[in-house]
Amino acid sequence: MTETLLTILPDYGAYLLLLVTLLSCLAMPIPASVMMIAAGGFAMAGDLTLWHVALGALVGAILGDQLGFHIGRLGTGHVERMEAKGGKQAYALRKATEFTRQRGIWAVFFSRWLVSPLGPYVNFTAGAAKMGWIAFTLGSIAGEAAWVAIYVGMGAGAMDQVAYLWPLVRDGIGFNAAVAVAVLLGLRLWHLHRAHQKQAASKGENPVKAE
Amino acid sequence: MAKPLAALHRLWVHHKPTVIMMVAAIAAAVFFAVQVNDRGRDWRDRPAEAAPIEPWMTVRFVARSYLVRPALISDAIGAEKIRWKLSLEELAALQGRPVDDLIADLEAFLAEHRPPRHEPRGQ
Repeated sequence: MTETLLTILPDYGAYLLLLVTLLSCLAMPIPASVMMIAAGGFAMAGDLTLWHVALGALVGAILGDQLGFHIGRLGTGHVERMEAKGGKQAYALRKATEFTRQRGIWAVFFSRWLVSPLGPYVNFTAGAAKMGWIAFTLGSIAGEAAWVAIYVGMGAGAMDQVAYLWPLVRDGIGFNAAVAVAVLLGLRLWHLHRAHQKQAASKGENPVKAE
Repeated sequence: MAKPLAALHRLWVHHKPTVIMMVAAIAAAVFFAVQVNDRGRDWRDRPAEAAPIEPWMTVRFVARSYLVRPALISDAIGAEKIRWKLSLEELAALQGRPVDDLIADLEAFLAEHRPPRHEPRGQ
């Protein structure tokens, strides 16, 4: 699919990039980053116009984020019902949604470009957790602008090395995303461990300490 | 040593899906770290000239990458009147030949006509 999209990229330019980045923000398996790198190269070659390319990619990504956010909003009722059930899981969920509402802007910003495979899921989660629309939109615009500038800029600056550059970038993004997921799950397990310790202490048992 | 192991065992017993997901994420991180290391080596050791020509590239893309005038390339592959935005694959289809043949002609032409780079990369 990547080859086909790259072949038609010079003909459809900014419109194709708009569609590609929009769909990629909705968790569709589309190679948006390599398309932006190649578009930067086509712009340097004179086949496309640089600012058209950047604008198309940016508009598509922002629209995709908004769609994802509002799809997530459809799940708000389900999240609220889970929070109202009571118990430890509901408490943890309440804390997580509260954290998303307060600090979600940073998750939105960094998940646009530094750990971009997680971006679509952050959109859905932010919507479901009832994160403020203005904070979400600010994080989205700033993050997507960074994403577009980095990738289109990379393509424009090193167009003759795209074939070597792209695999390095793709695996780097994969590494960042895997580390981010591992850290988040590690934090979750740490909190669960502490909860077990407190529970054991309150029952008068000998708590298991991590250190 | 026994206490951390007991804590891990307790997490495994009570929160198996979370532990499995975390182990999978760590395995993915290790896999990508190895890949990044290999790709980084490829990047450092890449040849002095531009990256290989691909079927999705246009004549102007190749021309700019190899620092050759586009008109010279279009003449060399027998496509005097071309739409510049056509990819090499589309050009080959118009000429009724495999794209690999067209790329081979292009590489032979560039081997003679591209300007030399000053020094190999990474030195």
